[in-house]
Amino acid sequence: MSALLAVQNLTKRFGRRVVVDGVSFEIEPDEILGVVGPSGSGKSALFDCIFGRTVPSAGEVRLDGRPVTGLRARELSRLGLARTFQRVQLFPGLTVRDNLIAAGQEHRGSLWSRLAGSPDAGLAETAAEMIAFFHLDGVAGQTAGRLTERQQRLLDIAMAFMARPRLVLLDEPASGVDATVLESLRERLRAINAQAGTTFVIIERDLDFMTSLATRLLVLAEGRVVASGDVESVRASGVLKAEEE
Amino acid sequence: MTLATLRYAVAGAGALVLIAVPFGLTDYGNYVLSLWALTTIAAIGLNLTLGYVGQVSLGQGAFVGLGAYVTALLTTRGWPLPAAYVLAFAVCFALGWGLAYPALRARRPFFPFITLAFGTFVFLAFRNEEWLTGGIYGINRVPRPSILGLSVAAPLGFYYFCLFNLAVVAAAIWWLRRSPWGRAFAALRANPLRAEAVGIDSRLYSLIAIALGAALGGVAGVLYAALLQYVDPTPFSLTMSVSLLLMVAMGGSGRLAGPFLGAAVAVVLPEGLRFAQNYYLFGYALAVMVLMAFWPTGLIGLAERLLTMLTKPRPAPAKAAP
Repeated sequence: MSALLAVQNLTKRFGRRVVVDGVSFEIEPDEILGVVGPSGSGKSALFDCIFGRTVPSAGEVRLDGRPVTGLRARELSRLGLARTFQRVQLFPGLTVRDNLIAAGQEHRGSLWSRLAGSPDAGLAETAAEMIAFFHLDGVAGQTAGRLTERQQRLLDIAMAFMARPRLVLLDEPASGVDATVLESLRERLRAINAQAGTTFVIIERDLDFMTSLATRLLVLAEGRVVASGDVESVRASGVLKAEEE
Repeated sequence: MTLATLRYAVAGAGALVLIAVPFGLTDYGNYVLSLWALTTIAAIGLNLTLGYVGQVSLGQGAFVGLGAYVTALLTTRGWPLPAAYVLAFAVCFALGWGLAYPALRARRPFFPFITLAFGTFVFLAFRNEEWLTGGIYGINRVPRPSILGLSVAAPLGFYYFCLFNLAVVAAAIWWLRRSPWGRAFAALRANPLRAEAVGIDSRLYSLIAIALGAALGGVAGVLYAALLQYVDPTPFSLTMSVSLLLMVAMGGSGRLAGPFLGAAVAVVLPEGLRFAQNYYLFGYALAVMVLMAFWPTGLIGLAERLLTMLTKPRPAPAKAAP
């Protein structure tokens, strides 16, 4: 099976400081890749390069074998990549339902049909499904800025699935979410992975959450890959000790 | 009563007042209301640029001027007014797009400078290209149109014509706001990072909003030429652009009703405050500063805050302990 996403020697420099140093790895379709590393290890910088937020200094990114290095986030979104951010990123003045529709509408119809057609861009049903799936029923008509931190995090994650992406990066999805919701979130992500075949990359500090979900781990330190493989073999190698403490 | 219901009630009452009020006014009163209606159209256009995609344009006055000159040049040569609408809309849309395209590619906020230069260039062209524009003497005897055989030459008829134009523009903007385009504008304004990540093309939507805003300036210019039946360069200087900016900011940028209120304060209110003479301008400037400092959402934001306070259900008084 060919890799969904292949990263070759990716490097990002800010002046003399190298934050991502020749990183290479591949993501297979349907897998859940967990990315681990201490704060400042280059996790977010690496995925900012892959997901079009910043342009890498060197290296290559391929999606389905096609080079996508340096493409903008919007273009990558059209190719089926979606992401959340470390800090929740919503449209605070829009309702929960409108946040979800906004997250999917650009993948529906032509520019003209988005002006002349239905105000919900035909996404009302998908939005309702997401609202139910992520337990946001009671607040669907409320503006996102007025939600609790937990509800905002769930909405942030739900938005990433509105365009039915193939690969989703979840940046610290468990942050600000209590244990009960965390369990529910884990089940939901597993269900999406199994039913829709969505591939995940998860950056998370909560190792229990991560290791219970990931099928493979990638460990970063000082901008480099220091270990990679299935959860048990990475655990056995001892590189996670610092994280586990 | 909810805030949404109250909004519709206020809009309905406002529409009724606008339809009924000219009967009690003199010709000059109808002229002022016509001027308010076309100024509101220009401000609605600028609201698209400033309020919806956050770009400061210092060239809206020039777009109004272009619309006015296109109308004067065409209609004094026997062309019908609809031709002026089409040409003014198309020219201003294309120029708005052309000015915004390079400005939006730059990381720095160049759009105000580009539109400032454009406004100055257009003003000088109006003044100096006498062979076309008549220079400082302008173009006179601009005819007022007939609609389906009915002349709107009289002040009352022309006011209703302007009001009809305003209603069409307001309805179009209302439609735009509730469409996915409106949602994309709101998303871009609120969070450009996430908007790009979910596939919203910030450059394309910004170009559309700016070009449509410029085109509405052109439409306002068509009405301006027909209202005054004379055009000369003086009104279309930087002053008009700055004045329109203040109207949008004062009314409430990004809000549908903001330009209506902003234009009313700038165009209609001075007529009622003539006794205040130049102190009116002093008060106006002070009001803009106070609003921007304490209520940056403008008069609409302020009014909504007051209405929310009034419509908020009061907590039931606690029952006395037995």
